[in-house]
Amino acid sequence: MILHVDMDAFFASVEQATNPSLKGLPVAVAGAKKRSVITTASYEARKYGVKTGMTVAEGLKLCPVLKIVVANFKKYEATSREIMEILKKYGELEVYSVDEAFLDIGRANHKEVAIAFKKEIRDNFNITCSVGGAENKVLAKLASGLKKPDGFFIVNDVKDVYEVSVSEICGIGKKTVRKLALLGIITIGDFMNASLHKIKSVMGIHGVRLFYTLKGEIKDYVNPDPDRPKSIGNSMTFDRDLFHKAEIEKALFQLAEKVAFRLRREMLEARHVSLIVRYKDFETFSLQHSQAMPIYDEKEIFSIVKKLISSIELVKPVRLLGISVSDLAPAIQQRLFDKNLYERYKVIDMIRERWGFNAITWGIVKDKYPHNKPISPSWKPDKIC
Amino acid sequence: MEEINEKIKVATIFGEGRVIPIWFEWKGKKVKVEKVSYRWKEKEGSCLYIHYSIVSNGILYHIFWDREKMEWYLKEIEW
Repeated sequence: MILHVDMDAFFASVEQATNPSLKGLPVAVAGAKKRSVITTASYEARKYGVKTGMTVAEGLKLCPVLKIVVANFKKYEATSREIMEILKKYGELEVYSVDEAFLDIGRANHKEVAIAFKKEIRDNFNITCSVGGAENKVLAKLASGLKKPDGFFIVNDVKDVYEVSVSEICGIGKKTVRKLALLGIITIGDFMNASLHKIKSVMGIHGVRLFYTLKGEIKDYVNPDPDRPKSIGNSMTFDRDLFHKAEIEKALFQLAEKVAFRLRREMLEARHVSLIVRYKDFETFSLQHSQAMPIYDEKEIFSIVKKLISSIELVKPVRLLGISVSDLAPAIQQRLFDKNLYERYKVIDMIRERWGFNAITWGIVKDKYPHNKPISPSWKPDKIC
Repeated sequence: MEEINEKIKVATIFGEGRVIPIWFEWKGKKVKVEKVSYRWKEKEGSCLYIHYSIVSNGILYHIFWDREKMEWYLKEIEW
């Protein structure tokens, strides 16, 4: 059996455990205090309608007694790492995100195993998790969300969840839900009873694969040594909206540095770059660039995103920028073709590993956009810089 | 939380594979650790810091140990 372990309101729970006076109170964990977006709301806060992605101001409007706590990502990363070490004792572990993991427990008694590690997590950290179990990861993940918080739900057969909405399946987003609904596919039962032709018309081959996975005819295994990341990205929400080209370019270089550092640390290079722009009014769009020649350094990444942002007219002030690289492969160019550049980056990266990321930077960005708050990464405990 | 960032003296017990603070001295007063509510590690480069949230007399203290310098600090307080 595969178990999906999902920490309950993880960041908020860690903060309530850190500060016992927050237990039982509506708590929201947010980024920088000034223009924060809520990253997690405690269950008490969710009762007021407070949700991830809301601004702090919106959260306080819904819940005037909301306690705001500034996020400490290093603390959550450290806690996550220790939790994953606990889970590893019970089966083959696949870390899915900072607060989620899959655990293949084979033929062990799933109830006994879940009770044991739930207790161990609670005793060590005073936080809870919800667990779902099934023969495949898709249903296990769905199951963990059905009874939260501190829940435990087993799906023995896909028919057990026929009444559940397809929107609860990981990987089916709002657009796909709408398209499926137009074909009369609303629940998982509708999905399993639909023709493959219909499913394929909306979801392509992935939909067909999903169908056979839910049916149990395709096995999806827990991968204890997950492949290299599929993408690496960082984003920044600014303390004040940016409009001037110079400020935006400085912020982009800062992001490019971070992404490149993480790319090189994984010994990877990328062929695809995405730039995410969010305006002051939360309108968000992305710009993409692909190329045959892989890249791994900040100057190249910056050059690409600079061209991308110059190709459009920014019509409103910008509140967030993000850079993500994908189509990743093991770094060959780094080592074989650009030896001098590679050696230079080796030294730069060694300094950063020893004295912290901000210990060294390029002269062209000596007056960086003054962002002293955490630069949000793509989440996996060991891959956070 | 109120930022303090001052060096302190801490009495600890080494046990159960952990460093457990028992009391610390700040501004000439001895603060007895009633409860360690949370503990975590942070890395900055190769430097390791071990952080503790401590409750004493209804006040929450955040202290940390700089393992490289072998110094303890009181980072912040919530009254």
